[in-house]
Amino acid sequence: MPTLRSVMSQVLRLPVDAIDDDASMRTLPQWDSLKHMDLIVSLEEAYGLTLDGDEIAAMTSYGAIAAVLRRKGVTP
Amino acid sequence: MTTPPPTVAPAVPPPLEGRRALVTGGAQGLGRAIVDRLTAAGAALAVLDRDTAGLEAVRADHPAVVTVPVDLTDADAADAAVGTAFDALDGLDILVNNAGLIRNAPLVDLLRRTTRAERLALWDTVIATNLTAVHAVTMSVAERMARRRLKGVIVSIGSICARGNPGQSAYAAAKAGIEALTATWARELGPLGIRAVCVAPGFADTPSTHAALTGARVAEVAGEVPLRRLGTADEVALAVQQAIENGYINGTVLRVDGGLVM
Ligand SMILES: NC(=O)c1ccc[n+]([C@@H]2O[C@H](COP(=O)([O-])OP(=O)(O)OC[C@H]3O[C@@H](n4cnc5c(N)ncnc54)[C@H](O)[C@@H]3O)[C@@H](O)[C@H]2O)c1
Repeated sequence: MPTLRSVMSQVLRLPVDAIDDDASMRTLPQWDSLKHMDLIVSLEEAYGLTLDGDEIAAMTSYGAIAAVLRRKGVTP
Repeated sequence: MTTPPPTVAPAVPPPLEGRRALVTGGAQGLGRAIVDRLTAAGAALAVLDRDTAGLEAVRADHPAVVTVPVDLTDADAADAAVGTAFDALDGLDILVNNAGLIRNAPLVDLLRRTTRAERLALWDTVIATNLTAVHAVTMSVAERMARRRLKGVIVSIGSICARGNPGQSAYAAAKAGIEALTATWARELGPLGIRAVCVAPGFADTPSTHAALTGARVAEVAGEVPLRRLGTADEVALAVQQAIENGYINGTVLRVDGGLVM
């Protein structure tokens, strides 16, 4: 399974090490609302899960995404 | 030895001398660059804009320019403003539809940062400014030109986003509408000697571009342009002047995009 960092780096077209633990929509200008849709779909495909509206709206940082994934039994 | 008399270059009249132009949204950005270029080319100008401070700045630099503050989305006020400009210049030969709003909203907002109602309202605002007002202002100008049998040209600023740009449903639809209006007016007004041309910029280095895109995105966009840079406002203004000067350009879209394809 790909790591969360690698999924994010692919979608946001950034090097993996640019996705640090504090990465968020505020710190990464590439991560806009359109890229966010890409990211959600990519995460669902990569980990075989479905994210609901509340989760999607909350997943605006690396940490927040990792927390949602862990809750769903995925190791980010 | 006698010094030779100084050679005097034959006086070439400015290319737009004697022409009268109305520019909408000329208070700043591309519109301001168009105002600067057309006045330098000798045209008499009127500028319509809702930014009164910007209009004052125009007059400070070009005291002869007629400025009329107006919100162009109010069709009656816009018609009255066009009348004021038309009378002040004793006619019009050129209209530049430049006023516009660059606003983005995703069709689907999974982040829930905007409500559906807000996105629908944004659609109305963008269409009202970038499409409906252009139609109304052109109607006001063309009617007056036709009544006086004045020939001329209507140049409307489109955008390469007319081909579609994610996050810009309203803006792209409005600019595609500008291309359709240009083709329509070219046929409808051509027999009266009035041409219609759309000038479609790619990404110009203007405050509005920097407001709409983050710095990183500006750099990314510049990298996607084959020329590896944004256009300048004056390069867009130059295309407007060329569309005005060339009497056989009609019903077409002049792209000023550095080769960027959407
Ligand atoms: N800047 C670019 O890169 C770019 C690219 C493609 C197309 N365009 C188009 O070029 C035109 C000018 O864009 P800009 O970047 O200079 O924008 P801008 O926002 O800097 O200037 C627009 C001007 O229009 C005026 N205006 C807007 N709504 C108005 C209204 N309802 N009534 C009266 N005045 C109004 C504003 O006051 C302002 O002076 C627009 O049509 C825009 O869509 C710009």
